[in-house]
Amino acid sequence: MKTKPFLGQGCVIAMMLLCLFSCEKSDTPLAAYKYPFSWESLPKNFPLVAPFPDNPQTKEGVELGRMLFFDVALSGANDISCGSCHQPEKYFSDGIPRTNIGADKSTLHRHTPVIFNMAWQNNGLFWDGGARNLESLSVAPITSIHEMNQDLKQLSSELQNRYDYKERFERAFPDKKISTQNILRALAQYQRAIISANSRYDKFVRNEGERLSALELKGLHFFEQHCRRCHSTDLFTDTQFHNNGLDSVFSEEHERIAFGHGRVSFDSKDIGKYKTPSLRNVARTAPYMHDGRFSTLQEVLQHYVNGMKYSPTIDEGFRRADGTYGIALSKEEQEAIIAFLHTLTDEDFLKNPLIQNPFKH
Amino acid sequence: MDDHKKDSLRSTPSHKGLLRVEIKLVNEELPFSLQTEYKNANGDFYKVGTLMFYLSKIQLFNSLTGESFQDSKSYLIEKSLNRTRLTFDVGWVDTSVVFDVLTLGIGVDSLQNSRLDHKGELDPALGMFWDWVTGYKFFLIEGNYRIQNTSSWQFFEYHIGLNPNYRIQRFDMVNRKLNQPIKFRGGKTTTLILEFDVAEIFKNPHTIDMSAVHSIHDWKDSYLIADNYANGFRAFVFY
Ligand code: HEC
Ligand code: HEC
Repeated sequence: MKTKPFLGQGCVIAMMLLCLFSCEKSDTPLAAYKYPFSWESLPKNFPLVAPFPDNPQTKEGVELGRMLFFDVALSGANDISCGSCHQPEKYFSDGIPRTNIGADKSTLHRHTPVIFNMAWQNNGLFWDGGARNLESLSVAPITSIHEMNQDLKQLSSELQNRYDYKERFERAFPDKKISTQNILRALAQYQRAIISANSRYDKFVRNEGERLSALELKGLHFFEQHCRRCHSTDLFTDTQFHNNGLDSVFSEEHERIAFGHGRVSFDSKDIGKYKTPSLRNVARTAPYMHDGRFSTLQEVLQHYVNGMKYSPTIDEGFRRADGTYGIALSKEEQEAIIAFLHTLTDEDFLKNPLIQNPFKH
Repeated sequence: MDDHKKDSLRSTPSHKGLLRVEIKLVNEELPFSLQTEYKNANGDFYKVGTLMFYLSKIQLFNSLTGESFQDSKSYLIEKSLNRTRLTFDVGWVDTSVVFDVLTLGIGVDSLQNSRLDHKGELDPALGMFWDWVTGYKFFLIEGNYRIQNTSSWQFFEYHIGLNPNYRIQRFDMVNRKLNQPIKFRGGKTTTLILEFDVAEIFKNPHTIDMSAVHSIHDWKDSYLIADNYANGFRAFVFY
């Protein structure tokens, strides 16, 4: 079957219909789905987003990017893909604190972040903001010896004779070439098409007939009061960098990886600051924080209430009258917030066939 | 690069001449070669295995009339065991103008440096990118060094990038970085010889103590090295 606009409002319904009728039909050919990417018809409760003139999105580009994202040929040993760490069924994270499935089997320093609503993330990518855009970011995992350990020249030549890539690149890009540039652009187009905007909360704020329980509403109230200033807008992130009191010292080891944003801005005022993660789907994306140190939302709330550690760059908004840092929340208030966070789970996302692994059917 | 080759083969316009740049590597006046032992300003010894850098935005000016020739591309220079790439063609320049000023950037300008999805000379497949922060390595030198009065060779590597290290250099007859005006003849090639003195990397204005700075750990170190290599270029034309 064909679907109407995939992105945005109108498409929310289309997506649901699509799932009702076709989710089980795994034999539906890919070509049957359509991706009109209209930046005008994005989720109504989301902020506006500028288009990407350097890499305009096309259906062909997104589909090609999706194939590349899940193709193990992107790794030197042809054993892992982007999707091995960024798993669609886990909202493109991996459920473990710090993965070690990369080429050299070393444990990475940071937790695999979720990937969705990336089109709105335009203030730096990675936990520390080091990558400027999705196109550039992919170079890192593809070539890193700790991740995919692939040579970019070899990748372009390997893809020449693999599947129907030749035709797909021809259709997706004006210069028709299988090149580093087009590989990076296709991957970015696909990642920008991964949108999560259909949780119970979304349907509630868009007046689509969804109701929140009294407890959830209470949680929303406390969330607005204490959390929204950073986990802001309906993206639930301000895309800025903050120190939320996880550590008191930041080691210089491993090329200052612990400096967070300070490592890439070279400004000591940014040491220990990390990008505010979106809290969409957060009930399903444990463990939490840049190093996956907390395994439950209860632990996260405990941290905000009485686990904060002081360091010079800690967010001063957490300072209490007595000079300690933290958010005063009773057990009930914490539970209400957690109940609210559960309303941010987007079940339809998991069923959206347009973002799934195309090799798994 | 392919485009340039095509350009230079294209039927030669009679009112334009081709600007070709040839990098001449020297080490204190003597021809430079890889894996050769040199002494640096601090009295220590070094041997180079790989030298790579980008040159960008080559521009020629007539300082009286303001007329100019402007190229916006970046070119990767390489001298390594894998590859020698010291010559490139920039483009066709009007024969009616005599140019007395040359400017060029060492590195990649901030706009290009803000993304890696470029083709040709800036294809990240050429290996000159950072993976922890978006951008290109502007200048890369790797090799071995030996502290005076010791016998063991250690590895050194200077990888320099980031926008503050993009250095625009001016070459003219006043600052004595250009030997004479640059002219073009219809259908002919003018070769601009850009001499780079590798010894300058360790010397001027900052004397580098390689036992302290053998890789870039601190951005302050990168500024020192960038100050130095930016000083290492001279331009010559001969007719
Ligand atoms: C071995 C596991 C692994 C593989 C394979 C992998 N990633 Fe990641 N990815 C990570 C980790 C860990 C991070 C966090 C790194 C950091 O912030 O320093 C990350 C971060 C990201 C981010 C940043 C998200 C944000 O919100 O800032 C994006 C986008 C991304 N990866 C895309 C990709 C793509 C595209 C590929 C394939 C080309 C890929 N990843 C392959 C583990 C992996
Ligand atoms: C000062 C800004 C700020 C405030 C206020 C704030 N957060 Fe955060 N939050 C962050 C940052 C930054 C991180 C990531 C920190 C890291 O990983 O180093 C984070 C991480 C989280 C995470 C982990 C998400 C993940 O995917 O790893 C959760 C859950 C969370 N915050 C919930 C809350 C709740 C609930 C509140 C209110 C009680 C709150 N935050 C208030 C900035 C803030």
